[in-house]
Amino acid sequence: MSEVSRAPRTRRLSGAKAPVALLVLLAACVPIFLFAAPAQAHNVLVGSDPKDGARLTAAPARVTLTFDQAVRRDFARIAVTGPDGAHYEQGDVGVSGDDVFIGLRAGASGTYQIGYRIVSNDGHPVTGTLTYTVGDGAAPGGAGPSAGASAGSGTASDGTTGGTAGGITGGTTGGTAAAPGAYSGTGSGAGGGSSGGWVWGLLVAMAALLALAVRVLVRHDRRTGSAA
Amino acid sequence: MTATTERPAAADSGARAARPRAPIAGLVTGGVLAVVVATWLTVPASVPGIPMPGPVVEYGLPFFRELLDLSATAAVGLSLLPKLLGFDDPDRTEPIAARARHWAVLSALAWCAAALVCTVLSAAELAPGSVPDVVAYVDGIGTGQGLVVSASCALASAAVGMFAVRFGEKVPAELRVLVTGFGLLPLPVTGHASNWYWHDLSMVSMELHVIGAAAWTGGLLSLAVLLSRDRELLARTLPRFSRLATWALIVVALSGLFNGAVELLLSPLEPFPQSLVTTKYGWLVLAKTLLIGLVAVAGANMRWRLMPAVARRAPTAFARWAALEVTLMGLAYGVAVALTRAPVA
Repeated sequence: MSEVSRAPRTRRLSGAKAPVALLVLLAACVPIFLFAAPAQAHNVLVGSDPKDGARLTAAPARVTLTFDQAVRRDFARIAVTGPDGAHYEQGDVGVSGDDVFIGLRAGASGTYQIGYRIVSNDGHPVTGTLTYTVGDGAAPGGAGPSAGASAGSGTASDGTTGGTAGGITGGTTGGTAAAPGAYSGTGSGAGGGSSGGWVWGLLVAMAALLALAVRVLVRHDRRTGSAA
Repeated sequence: MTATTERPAAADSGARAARPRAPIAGLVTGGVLAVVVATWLTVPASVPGIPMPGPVVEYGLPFFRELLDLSATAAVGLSLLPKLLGFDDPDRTEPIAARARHWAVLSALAWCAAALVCTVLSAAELAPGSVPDVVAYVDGIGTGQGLVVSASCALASAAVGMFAVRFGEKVPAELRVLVTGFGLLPLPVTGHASNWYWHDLSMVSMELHVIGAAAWTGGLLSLAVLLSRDRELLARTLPRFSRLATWALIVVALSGLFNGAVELLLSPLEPFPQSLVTTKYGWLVLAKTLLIGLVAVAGANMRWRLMPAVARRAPTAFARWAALEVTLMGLAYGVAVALTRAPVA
């Protein structure tokens, strides 16, 4: 029985303290705000250049997507698929403020699809597709290429290799859009990203606490068992 | 003492388990059904040229998030149960309380496991087509930190729960409620409550929503599973739970409406009243409002039609109504998970 009295926190709060407990619980929320980033919301695409569905006379040199708030650079991807199903983006994705942009290489006239995928500040991926047309809407072979493009996207989403479907992109893009290893080489870009490595320490500490609890209880059982 | 009372309780739970499992089955089935349907509704279309996460991640992540929420809710409800049972008649309440302590530890461990699986799947969601880098994900993204902190809280809850399994109600119920309830808090703050001038207010409202929902659903679940056969204890406990449930209903409904409206109002693209029907986020808000309305009706039925009979120790359809209400709550939880992931646009 003396062992039992050594149990931690044996004091018992008097009953009917539920409101107090609730208040304490709410007070406990406060420190949580310390590690919550100030802006936590889904980013929303509010504009683009070229605009969705735009008809341009000349191929643009770059594509800019504008979101309602700043975008994390480290996960941003933009792919521009041309009328022939090939990728036209080149270089790395850049971020300035709310804008995400990527350079384009020159392409033939026809309909281009801009696919994007960014990670919103709350950690959720946001994806979407825009289209624009260069030159005449009635570009040669308007129907065939779009079928090719959708086939290409199918391969890309199925493939687990990261680099988009080599057969279609060929060597032209140099893997700019979907470089394997989404986290590589972008360490400096995160900007506002908080470094949260400490949570692992917390997890380990709690696992240790649980192991300790199990150990104490097993030893306690053994001792009371031998005493009896 | 507590260990000896627990053995027979666990043993005969197997023999007469048939009906009290209905609420658990209802909660889990309702939750999984709703989460799969809502995810299917809101799954993003494939994007040309960009690798998308596979179906394992698209459906697995919400599924495990649902398991996380439900097991955390069960842990909270089972920790609350001793407060509802009261401490004045230990001979009668102790067998039930012992089972509640036992299941609270198991729920907390399931919660921890689900949180860790969610962490891996979330990392995989952001890096489709490559091996997920969990460390980098947790390092850079608040949600990852929230999940790991949630898992840590679950372990803490399990540790305290283990002491309670061993030492019984000497480990104060308030402590268990606090530790377990604290574990609910990390995830909402890392979710997508709006980027707004009164951001902190919407955070507090979100936390209240989660605490209210967990106390309500978890409390009813533990009553339905552990108490529905013991008319005497049910007669003493149900009125206490009913007061808690009334407050929880008010808190959950108000905070839920507030947060849903804020999220829709602040969307830069969609005008508000229309966005309720034009956006999938709006559909989910409407679905959840409908569900909480149904839960409130079921709860009102229990409060005004069943409770007088329960108080007379008369046989009632409490078990059936509780199973129905818990199933509706499970559906609402499933929609909630999809709601945390769906963009407004």
